[in-house]
Amino acid sequence: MSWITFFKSGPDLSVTNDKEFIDTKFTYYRQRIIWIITLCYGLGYVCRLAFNVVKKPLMDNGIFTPEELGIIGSALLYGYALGKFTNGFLADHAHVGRFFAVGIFMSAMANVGMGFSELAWLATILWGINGWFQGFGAPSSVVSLASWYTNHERGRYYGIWSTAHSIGEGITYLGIAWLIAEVPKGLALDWQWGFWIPAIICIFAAVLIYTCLPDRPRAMGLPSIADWSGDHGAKTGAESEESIWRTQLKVMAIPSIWILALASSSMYVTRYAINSWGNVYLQEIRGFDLFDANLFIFFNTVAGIAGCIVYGFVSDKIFDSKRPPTNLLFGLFELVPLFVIFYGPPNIYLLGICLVVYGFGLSGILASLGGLFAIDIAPKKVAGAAMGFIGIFSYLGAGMQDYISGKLIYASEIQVVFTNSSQDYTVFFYNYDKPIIFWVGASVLSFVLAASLWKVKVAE
Amino acid sequence: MNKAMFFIAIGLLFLSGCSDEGDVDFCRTYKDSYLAQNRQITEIKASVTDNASLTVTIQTPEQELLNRFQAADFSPVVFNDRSDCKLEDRSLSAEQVRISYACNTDNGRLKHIVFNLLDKYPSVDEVKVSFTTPAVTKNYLLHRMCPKPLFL
Repeated sequence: MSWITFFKSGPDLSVTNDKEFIDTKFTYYRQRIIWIITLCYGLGYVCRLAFNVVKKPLMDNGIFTPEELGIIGSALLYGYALGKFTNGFLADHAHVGRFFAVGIFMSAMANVGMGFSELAWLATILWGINGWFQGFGAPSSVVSLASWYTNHERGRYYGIWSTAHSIGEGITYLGIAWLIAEVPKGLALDWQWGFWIPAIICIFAAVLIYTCLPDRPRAMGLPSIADWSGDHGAKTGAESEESIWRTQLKVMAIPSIWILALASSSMYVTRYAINSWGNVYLQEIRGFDLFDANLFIFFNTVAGIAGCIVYGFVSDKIFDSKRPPTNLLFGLFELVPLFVIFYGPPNIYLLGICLVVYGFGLSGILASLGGLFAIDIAPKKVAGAAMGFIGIFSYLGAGMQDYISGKLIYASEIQVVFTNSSQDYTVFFYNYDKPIIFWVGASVLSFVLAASLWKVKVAE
Repeated sequence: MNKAMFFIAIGLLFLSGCSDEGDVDFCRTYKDSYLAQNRQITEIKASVTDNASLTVTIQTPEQELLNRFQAADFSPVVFNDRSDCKLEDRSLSAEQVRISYACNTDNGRLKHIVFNLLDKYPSVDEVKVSFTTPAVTKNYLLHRMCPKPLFL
């Protein structure tokens, strides 16, 4: 069996006439698939985020400078952006169980390698490759959702699957931080375990996916989900006749999509700045230990779940499906706490509240800029391409952020060394004033750009 | 059976990660014991500004070090070649010396500050450091038996 055949989705098999058999199989697989993709996509997240947790130990041990950490972190985001572009196409043709399993397994291998890698260029390559393999998970999950759940129930199942982000962030920002944090809050394991334990978790997930996530129904001798449920979507014949290039060109000819892409990209700068450097900032400048700093970031990301849901509800029910006023409201929810976090009084409770409100506002506004508002503005025929365009733009912004933040932080470095005959003690000091201006400034720019689309009309 | 082996493997991995050297056990308890006893040890308080001024205050119970405070050429800091630093102020009391330097550097900032107390004075086994930059103050303990600074 060649490796291409291994990944390829099986041929359509003839469908049995035994309705009871078909119903039993669909019930069984549909129950299993949703929890497999939710659990395993969440577990896969750990291999993506572990690097953020071990950044501070890597800096303290003098293994990587902040600039190098920025380059390594941005490599993952560029790899992920590339993966978003390529893997969606590949997943459409793949046996998703194998495709997803191999992606998550290779991501685990990259994490194993990171634990041994103290060379910046090697770590950059490994983490870039990890980014690309991380991009196997989402399209595989979406293909599974599309293959096994009907048009009318997909929204609900998509919502359940979306909780995987929080599962992953929870395990990482609490669990992995607990492994690395000093006693008594953690196990005080060396930073390498911050990569190796996620690798073990991802290998476990890969085995689970490989054994439990099936191919398409038609490749298993079952009817398609639409035929089984009788839930057929509208035909989009005219759309499918257009070439991909023409579709993409149409998207790029819409000025408001460019503005939206810039707004989303700027917001991704802030989002990934807080996710990547927030816990380092809290440890370096605010004096929290590793566990508490990651706990704060965890609260911030969990608040995001509510932000997504409430944004949709508020914009639909209160503002009659008008996104601009909701964008303004959630933009303020994001921006005001951000100012208080960085420029407000140094109160721990205020910090906690602001991080939660910020996470709530950020997720709402991101759901709009990269999703709901984009679909409103773009002609419906090119909505998918618009979201893809904005998504890639956003991750390019996030990647550049990591590099620029690392460079700015490194430029402020002061090393205080106590020489000693057996070993030197070096403590690093950083100033986050300039990175903070960059992070907050990006949010302000995003807010202004989104507000400039106040009068933009909804496309048909 | 397979499940049991999997969990045993995970357990062994954890155990191998926890097998520390004896010194590390000392270091884990040293900070707490220091804080509980609050005994007097050599303390360094230093601050650096954005325009490359450095002020260092040293307080010590160590006689060897106290004696060296009297010497006019005593400096706890070693500056690298690119830092053109001059002694700006120096004051001495019974157990404490305070020294200020003003430096001219290429970019107007001091980026690398080296203290040689542990190197030059074998009687000094432990040091409490409080170092302040324009952005942050860090407090930590250094002990010869511990491989890393212990943050307070």
